[in-house]
Amino acid sequence: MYIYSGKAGWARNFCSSMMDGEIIIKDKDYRGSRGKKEKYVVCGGKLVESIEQDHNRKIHTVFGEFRKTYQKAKLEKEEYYQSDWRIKWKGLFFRQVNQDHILERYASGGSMSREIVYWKNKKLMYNLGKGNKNIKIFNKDGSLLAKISLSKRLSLYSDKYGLHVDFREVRKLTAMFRGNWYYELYDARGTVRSWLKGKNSIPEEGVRNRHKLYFLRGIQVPKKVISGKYDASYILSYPNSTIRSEMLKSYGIERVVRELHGETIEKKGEYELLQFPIPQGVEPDRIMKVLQMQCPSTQVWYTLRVSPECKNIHEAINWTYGLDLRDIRKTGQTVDILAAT
Amino acid sequence: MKAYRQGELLFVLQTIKDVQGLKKALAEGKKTTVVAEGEATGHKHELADPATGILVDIEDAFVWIDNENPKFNNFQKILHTEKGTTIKHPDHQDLYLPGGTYYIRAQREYDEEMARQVRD
Repeated sequence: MYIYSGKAGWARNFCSSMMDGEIIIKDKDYRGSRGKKEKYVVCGGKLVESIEQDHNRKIHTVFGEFRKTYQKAKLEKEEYYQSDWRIKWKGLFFRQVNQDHILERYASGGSMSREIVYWKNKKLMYNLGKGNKNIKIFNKDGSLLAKISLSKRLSLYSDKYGLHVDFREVRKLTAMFRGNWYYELYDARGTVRSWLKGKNSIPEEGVRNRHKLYFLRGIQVPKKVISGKYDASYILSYPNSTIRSEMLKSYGIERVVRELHGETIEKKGEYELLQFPIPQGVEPDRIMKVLQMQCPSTQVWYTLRVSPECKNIHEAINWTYGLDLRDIRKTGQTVDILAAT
Repeated sequence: MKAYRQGELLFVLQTIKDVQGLKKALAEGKKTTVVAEGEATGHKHELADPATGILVDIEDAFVWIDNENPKFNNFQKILHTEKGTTIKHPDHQDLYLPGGTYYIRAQREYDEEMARQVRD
């Protein structure tokens, strides 16, 4: 085995080979106080064991078997491996003690098969097996918190950071899953007080503390957004741009123009460019610009919402034809309409 | 850029150098006689006489003409007519298009959400 000292600095590097023995490295910081300490055990030319001590943290590795992490002499994390650093073929391969829970992961046939999470008081939080579509989550006192039903099983990842089912997200009614899913939360008497239903990480409907929740494109909205009982000024003052766009589509730009009139930026022949303030908008969407035009053959006026960066009718028309505003301004590119009906 | 317009549809006249590319696009695109269908009314913009032009939908075809893909510029269909063709629609007057090749797209409308995604 070859040992290199990477951090030793100029003229202090060394390279040595050894078959059996121990290497101890003691680190000092620039002030001379004690730093990291490392011990390596070499047997038959192979590294078999290491102990790394860095202040309160100690990592003990037996290569091909385990790695254990201690914090202030308390065992915090256990990882069990095969010789090639793959997770242990069968049984417990990961255990981590966290602030309020203990996470255990088990393998079968070399892949993760189960995740069990306990509260610090040893009560079960959940027991999730590979292929499970129905999951029960329990409170710290052992009472049932939630039941989750999934159409697609949860994928289990051996190296996932954190839990596969986020207890806090479930409790806040913000957890989402793949496929069709539904979960309900229980109160202390065991009755359902809240539930949420959705598809592919998008909530569709639910109840929180017996009050109905409404969603549009997965975003929670007030009831009036779904029932359509709003006016143009409500739409333009709505803070979320996704919902504002959805409401504008279903309400119709024409109705907004009729109701709010707006401010004319330019009027020329059969075209008029208008602008409306959006109080909750974020630059450049603090104003909505609308191009009104009259169809030459039907004489009907129709409206198109245009980019808020259009400064005049010329830019707005060419923008609707698909041209880039930079090209219109810099190269003078325009669409020359030879005939229109 | 020279174009003809019927309602919200834009027929952009093209000068094609890559004749083989055009032939391939016309052969591989999905043949149709309907240029576009009205979302609310169901009224169609369509070829008055399908024998006068070849109209193809390039949505699912790999089209490469004159070193560019018309889909990248939001064109949805290609129309080629040798001697000219007419587009009819119940609400609009007939639009006569002289012989040539046209890329077709609809007038676009600003969508705050889409623009935000592009900006992000």
